[in-house]
Amino acid sequence: MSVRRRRSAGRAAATATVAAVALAGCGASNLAFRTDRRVHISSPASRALVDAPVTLRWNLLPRPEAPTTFAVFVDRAPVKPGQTLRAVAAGDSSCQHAPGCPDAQYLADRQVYTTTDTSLTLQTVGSLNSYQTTQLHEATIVLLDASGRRVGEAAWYVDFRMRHRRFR
Amino acid sequence: MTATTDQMLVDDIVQTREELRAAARASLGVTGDASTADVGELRSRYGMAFYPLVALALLAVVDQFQTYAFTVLTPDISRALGLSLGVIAGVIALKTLAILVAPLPMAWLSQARSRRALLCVATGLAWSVMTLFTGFVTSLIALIVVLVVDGLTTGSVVALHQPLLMDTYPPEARVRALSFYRSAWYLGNVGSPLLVALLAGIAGFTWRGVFLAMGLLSIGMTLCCLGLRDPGFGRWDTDQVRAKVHEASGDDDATVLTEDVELGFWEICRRLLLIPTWRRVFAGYAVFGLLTVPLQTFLSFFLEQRWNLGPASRGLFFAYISGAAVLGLLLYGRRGEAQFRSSPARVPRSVGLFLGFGVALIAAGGLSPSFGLMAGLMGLGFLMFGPLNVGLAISGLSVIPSRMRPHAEALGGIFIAIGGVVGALFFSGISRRYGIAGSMVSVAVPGIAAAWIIASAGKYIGPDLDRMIDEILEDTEIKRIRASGGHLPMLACRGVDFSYGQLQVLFDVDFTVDDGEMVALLGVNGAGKSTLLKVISGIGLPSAGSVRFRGEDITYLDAERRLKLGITQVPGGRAVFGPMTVTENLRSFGYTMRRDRRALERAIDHTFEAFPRLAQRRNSLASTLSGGEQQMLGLAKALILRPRLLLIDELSLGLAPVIVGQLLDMVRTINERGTAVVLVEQSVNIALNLVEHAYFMEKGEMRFDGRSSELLGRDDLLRAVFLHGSVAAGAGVGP
Repeated sequence: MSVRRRRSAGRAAATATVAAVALAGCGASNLAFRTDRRVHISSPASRALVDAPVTLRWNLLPRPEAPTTFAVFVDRAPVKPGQTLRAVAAGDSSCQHAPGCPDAQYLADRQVYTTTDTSLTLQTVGSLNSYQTTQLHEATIVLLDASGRRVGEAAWYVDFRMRHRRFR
Repeated sequence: MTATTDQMLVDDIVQTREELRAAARASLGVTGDASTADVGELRSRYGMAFYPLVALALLAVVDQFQTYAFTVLTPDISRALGLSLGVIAGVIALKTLAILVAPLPMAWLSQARSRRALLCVATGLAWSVMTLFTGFVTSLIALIVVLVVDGLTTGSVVALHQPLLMDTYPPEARVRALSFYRSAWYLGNVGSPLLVALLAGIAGFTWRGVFLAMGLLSIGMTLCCLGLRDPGFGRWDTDQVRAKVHEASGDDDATVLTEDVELGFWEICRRLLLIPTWRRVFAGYAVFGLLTVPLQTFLSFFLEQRWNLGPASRGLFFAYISGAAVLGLLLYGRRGEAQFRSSPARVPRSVGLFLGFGVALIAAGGLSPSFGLMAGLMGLGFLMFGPLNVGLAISGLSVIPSRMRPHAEALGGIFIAIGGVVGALFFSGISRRYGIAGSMVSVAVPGIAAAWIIASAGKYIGPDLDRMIDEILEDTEIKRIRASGGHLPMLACRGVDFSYGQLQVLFDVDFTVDDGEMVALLGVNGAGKSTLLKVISGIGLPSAGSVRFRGEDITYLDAERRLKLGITQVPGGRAVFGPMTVTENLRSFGYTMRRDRRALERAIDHTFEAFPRLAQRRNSLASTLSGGEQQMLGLAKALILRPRLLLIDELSLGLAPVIVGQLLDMVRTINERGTAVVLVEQSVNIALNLVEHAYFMEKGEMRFDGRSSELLGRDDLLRAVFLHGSVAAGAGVGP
C-alpha cells in the first residue's frame, strides 16, 4: 500500500472513529426540544436578596393525582436523567459500603434535598468559595419517579443572593 | 568601458529600480495621496462583486452560533445532562485549545494550493453540523467531540477569511471590505446571543431546540456561500508588481517560468518572525491579549456585582458595546483607506492611538459612579477598539506575500491567546486584591503598552513594503532572465544583513559564485566569513537581503532542504561526531541518501580510496583521530554527497603544512569534478594560491570582489591578515 493510500486510510479511520464516538453519545429519543413549563418557582424572586432561612416555593401544573417527589439541588448540578440520588455519593467509598447511605442527612450535608411538598426551607446555605460580599446561589428542582430516579431532562431553577457570612 | 560610462549604467539601473518600486507601491495601493474612490466607481473599474464579502461575512456570523449558544446555555446543559460546571469548564477549555491551534493547520492546508474558499465553506458546513449535533448530545464524550471538532473547524475564520478578502478585493477597496467584514463579525456578536434569547425565551425551545434551530440556520446560511471561489494568491499584489516589471521590460508575461522553491509551513512561520513589522504586531497582539480575556470576563462580573445586571441585561450591554465597535468600523473604513493610500505607517499609529484612548475610557468607566456615565464611557471605548483588527490586518498583511498571510493570521491568533492565558492568571490575582473594578482599571496598563507597541510598528511598514516589492521584482527579473536563456550565477547573495540578537555582524553583503568556480572568502577573525557561510547553508537566517541558488530564492529555506539542493558545508574546527566511528560518521553524512543504501556504500568505499588513512582507521572513534584526520573526515562529506556547492570553513586551521597540502589537493580534485567551492580562510597565501576569484571581508562588509592577483596588490586590505597568512605560507602550496 502506498504512503498516500495509507494516509488516506488513516484519515478515513480517524474520521470514522470520531463520528462513531460522537454518534454513540448522541440520541434522538426522549430528548426535550421544547421548554417544560410544568413547574413554576414563585419564591424567592429571581436574584432577590434574602437571608437564611430561605423558603423555596413552587407550583406543579397540572397537579398530578399521585404525590410527586421533588429533588432540590443547591449550588450543584443535579444527577443525570435516569439516575437515583445514590449518584450524589458516587466516588465516596465510605458511603457506598454503608447500608442506607446516602440518607437524608448525607444529602443535606451536600445541599441536596427531597420533598413531596411544593416548598422547602433551607436553614443554611453554604458559602461559595469567593470573596464577594453578596453571593449568588442557585437552587435546581428536578422530578423523581417512584423508584427515586430522575425523570427526563427537565430542570427548573432560581437564583437568589445572600450576604457572605463574613459580611452579615 | 570608462568610469563615467559605468556610473551612467549604475545610475540608469538605480533609476529604473526606483521607478519600478514606485509603480509597484502604487499598484499595492500606496499612492501617496489620500484620495479614495466611491465603492460604485471601484465596482465598475475592477468588476468587483459583493458576493465574496457577503459570503465570508455570513460565515463569520454563523461561526459564532455554537460558541454563543453554548456560553448562554451552559447552565441549562449542565442541569439537563447532570454535568457539573467544573466539568463543562474543562470541556470549554478543550474547545478553546482546539480554537487556539486550529488556524495553524488551516494555514498549512492552504499554502500549497489556493483552496481557501473551499476550506472556508467546508469548515463552515462542518461547524454547522456540529452545532446541529450539539442538540442531540446525551453524554460527556459526545459533548467533548462536538465542541472540539467545532473548535478545530473554526480555525478557517482566523487564518483564511481576511487573507481571502485581501486577494479578492483591490487595494483601493480593502480597508472598507475588511471593515465591513469585521462589522459583520461584531454583528454576529450581537445577533447570536439575541437569537439564542429569542429561541429560548420567546419560541420556548430548550437548549436542544436552540442548537437544532441554530444548526439548521447555520447550514442554510453556509449553503448560501457555496459560490465562494478562491481568486488565487496575490492577484492584486504579486501579480500586479510582476506585471509592472513585464511592462517595463516589454516582455510577454507568458514567458515567465513559475517553478519555485516554495517555503514549507515552519519556514514561512520562521520567515514571518523575521519581518520587523510582524514582530511588532505579534508583540502587540501578545500584550493586547493580556487584556482581552480578563476584560470580557471581568466586564461580566463587573456588570453583575457593581450594577446588579442579570444575564439578559448583561447580554444587552454586550450587544450595545459590540454595536459601538461596529459604529467605530463604519466611521473608520474610508478614513483608513485614505490613511493607507497616503502613508501605510499612519495606519498602525492611528489604531494604536485609538486603542490607547479606548482602554483609558474603559478604565474610567470602571470607576464611574453612575450607570449612564459608565455605559457612555464603555461605549466610546469599544467604539475606538473597533478599527484595531482592520488596521493591523491591512498594514500587516500588505507587507507579506499572499501565501504567507494565513500563517501570519494564525500566529497572530496564537499570540493573542498566549497573552489571554497569562492575562487571565495575572488579573485574577488583581481582582482578589482590588476587586472587579480594580481589575477593570488595571487592564489599561497592558492596553496602553499594546497601543504603544502597535503604533511603533508604523516605522517598519514602509521598509518592509519595499522589501517585499524588491523580492518580487528580483524574483520576476531572475525568472525573466532564465526564461530568455540568460546567464545566472550558481549562488547569488544580495544585500545580506545578519544579526546575532541585537548585534549586527553582516552589512549589505553581496557574494556570487559561478558553476564549477572555486572562490576564496578571506578576512581576519570576526570579519563575518563563517556567518556568511551559515547564511548560505541555512544555519543562520538573514534579517535582510536574499540568497539565490541557481536562480531560486532559498533565503529562508531549511538547511536540510538546501543540502538536498546540493549545498554542503564543512564547518570549521572538528566537523565530525566524536563518539561515532569513522564509518558511522560517513554514513551519517549520507543520511539524505538513505533510500539508496548501495550508492551510499559505494560512496564510502570511494572515500576510503581517496583517503587511505581514513580506511585504516575506519573503526576508530572520530574523537581519537588527529586534527588532520578529522578534517579529512569532515571533507569526506563532499565525496559522499557530491554537492554542487561546497562551503569549507577554515580547512587549514591548526594543521601541519603537509596535512594542509594533502587536504587542498583533495579540494582541488573535488572542484575539478564540477563542484563549486567556497574556501573560507584566514591564511591569504594558501587561499590565493588555489583560486582565481577572491572576496575579502572586513567588519561584516564585503571590501573586495575580484581576481586574487588583484587582491594580492591591495596592501590596505591584506595588512591585517598578512602576518597570519605568512605563517601558513610555509606550507608551500602551489596551484
